Amino acid sequence: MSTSTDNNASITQESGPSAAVQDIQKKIVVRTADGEVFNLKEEVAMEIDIIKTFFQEDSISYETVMPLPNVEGWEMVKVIEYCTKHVELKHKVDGYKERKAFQALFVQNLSTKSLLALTNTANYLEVKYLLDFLCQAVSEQIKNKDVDYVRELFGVENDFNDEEYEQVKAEAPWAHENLNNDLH
Amino acid sequence: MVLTESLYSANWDLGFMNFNMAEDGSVAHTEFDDGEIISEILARLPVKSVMRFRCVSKSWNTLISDPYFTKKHFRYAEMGITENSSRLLYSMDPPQSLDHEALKDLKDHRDGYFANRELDFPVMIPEFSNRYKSIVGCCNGLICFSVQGDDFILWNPCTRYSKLLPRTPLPVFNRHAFCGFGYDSANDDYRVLVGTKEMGEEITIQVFALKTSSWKVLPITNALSISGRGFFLNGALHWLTRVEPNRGNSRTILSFDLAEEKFHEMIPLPYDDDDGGFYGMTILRNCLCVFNFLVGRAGVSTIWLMKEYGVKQSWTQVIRCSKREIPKEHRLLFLQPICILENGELVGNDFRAGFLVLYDPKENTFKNVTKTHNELNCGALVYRETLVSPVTGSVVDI
Repeated sequence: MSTSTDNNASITQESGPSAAVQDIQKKIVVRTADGEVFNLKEEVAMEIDIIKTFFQEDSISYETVMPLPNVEGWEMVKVIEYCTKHVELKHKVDGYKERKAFQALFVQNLSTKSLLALTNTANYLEVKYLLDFLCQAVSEQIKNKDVDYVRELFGVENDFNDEEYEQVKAEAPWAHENLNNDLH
Repeated sequence: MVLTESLYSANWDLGFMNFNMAEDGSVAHTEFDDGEIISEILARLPVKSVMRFRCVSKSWNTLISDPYFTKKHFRYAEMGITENSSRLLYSMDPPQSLDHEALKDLKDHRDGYFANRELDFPVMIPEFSNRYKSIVGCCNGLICFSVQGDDFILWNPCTRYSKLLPRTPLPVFNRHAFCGFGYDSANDDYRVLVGTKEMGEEITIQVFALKTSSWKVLPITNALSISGRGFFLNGALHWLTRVEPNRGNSRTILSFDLAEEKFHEMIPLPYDDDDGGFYGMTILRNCLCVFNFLVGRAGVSTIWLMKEYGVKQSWTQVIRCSKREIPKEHRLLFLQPICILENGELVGNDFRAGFLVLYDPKENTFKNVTKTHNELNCGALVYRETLVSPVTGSVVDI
């Protein structure tokens, strides 16, 4: 890990260096577990606390490529997508509807398993608002599902024997009924 | 990217995720066992889902039963992150509840599908079913009731756990004057209050604290013009003071602050009713509520809600109904309000006839819902579905 005495992060003027150099100065580079490299805009990168800490704490030069061994490429794409939108909406006065529409699209093509993997990533990267959103999204998707589905999704093994299972189930048999009717 | 299960090289436990890294750097995700994240996801689920997922595995059952989780779940429900669900308890022998919002689809009581559910109540007192039960109060999903005025029980009808309280230090049998149950947020504790009356009007008040599971006697002995069960709101129990003929003071709502353990706050009624117009009070839509029946020549019955706690001008008449507007067969109706549905219909207890009734103020129609059972002194009771434990009161375990 190299450190630089001149802290590139402090350069923010619009005038001076050419646009291309400007872009390089304002980008942060990360590499995910599968070797993919991502250039993030500084303001988006700073939404991700683990990146923010890495560069700011020791004044690490932006030339350094930060490794993210616990993050897959596709996950990084989604995280950048969400954080970019979040930054964009920060400046808007009433972005409620737009945020809702964006969130609906965001989860649309993701399987529940992928959503779950993303919660881990959001947690590791320390993006709280993304983690909250993803936990909410997962909970909505599993709300009316049965026990087997949930076990499968979380990769949990049933360590109850038949008797124990029936005992716990008997404490609230109504909770196992009418799962698709959604009357309650 | 292919996920392999090859186990050579490192097997790291990063605390939140167990994974095995193969030589080429590919990882195999095994069980998702980050308890914190699972807890965050489950805390946003409705109670029904949470109760069901206890069966997923032993560790999930432990996580869900832990007071730390139930407290978080409760907090999210209070914040509106999780949908709040509530039900109506209308019978104790056997204990039964129904989904009151489903009543909006009620045509007549023969058709009534209102998601009836028989509740489980473990009997812990001899002769339980033969003894008279009386509701003391309901708060945060816990119901407190007394059995023949002597024994007190805390019960969560949703999780079905219950607790028999230790006996009061001073006798209360046949001496009940007033009682109440509520939550003291300052001390994060639940309290049961029992006021008894000896001869000569001397009052004894005993208060139970769930955290310490103990009773104590309060040094308040002056005669108070209250009786029956108090209604809990905003950290205090409330009673409509009795009519005191020839005393010249108008009635008010008296409140008892559970944290300070003191009576204060005489809350004024919508108007002075020295003629004893207001029949009773309750809590509706999280507001103090007073109601009266068949007042004056026109026989007007009204229900009022105090939209802003303690502010006299905020009393709002939400239902008004005169005798001639009521169909003949319901004319002698003494309707005790139980709850107001989202669509504005009122569920009430006709305690003369022993029936739960649905009243539509727009159409002026009454529909019979179901027979209530006499053993519930209040006719029916709305409770929230929560995971709060009647044993610990969801105290954080450290």
